[in-house]
Amino acid sequence: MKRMHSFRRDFGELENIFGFIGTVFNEYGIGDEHRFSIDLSVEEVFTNMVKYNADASGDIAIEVEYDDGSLFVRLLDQQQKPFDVSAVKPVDLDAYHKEGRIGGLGIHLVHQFMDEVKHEVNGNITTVTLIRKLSS
Amino acid sequence: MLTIDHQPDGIIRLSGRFDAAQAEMAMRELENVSDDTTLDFEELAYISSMGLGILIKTHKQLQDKGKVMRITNVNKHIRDVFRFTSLDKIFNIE
Repeated sequence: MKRMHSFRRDFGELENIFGFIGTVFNEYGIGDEHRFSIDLSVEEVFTNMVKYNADASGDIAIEVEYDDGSLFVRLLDQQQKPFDVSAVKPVDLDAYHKEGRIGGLGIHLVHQFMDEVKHEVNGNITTVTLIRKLSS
Repeated sequence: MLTIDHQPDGIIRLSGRFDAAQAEMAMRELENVSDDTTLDFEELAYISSMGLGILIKTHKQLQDKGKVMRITNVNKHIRDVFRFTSLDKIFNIE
């Protein structure tokens, strides 16, 4: 089971993105207890794509697939300089708070909430896949 | 949609979803907070890293003035976010 939708590169699209995820959850009968982690992880990757690929003009596509008890959410973006979110190391939280930093926790959170994060580049299309096992 | 409601007794009630689309509005609402403050999260369903950044900034601005920011009525998911970022050790969560 798979659903896909495209969204403008605009934070104002988040409400529509959450609506799309909600519709897919209802359609697939996935419990609301999984919504928070999926919404947050999709928002963090989507806003990362918007912020750090500011020269791009094309939409960002989001595909949701439910297969064998696992949810796969893919975000597809045209990127000239792909940024590998799967390779982002966990934040050293002691140092982070000691230094009084602000920001930079988004991808760290994605890795905490998801079971796996994959990054693939095919031509100029970068795909970030978020995987969450729902049966566990 | 996020609503920020300033109560007269130093309580600020946040309702809805604190996502990146709400960050500018939230920053405007919280940047002038200057006294002991309790953020009531009873009706707050969701927060992302952009919201965390604004909470950290608000916490710092109060701390610099010798004031306290408390957070109450935190749901399980937001508590997880605080735990995964060690903000549960930084913020005064009741």
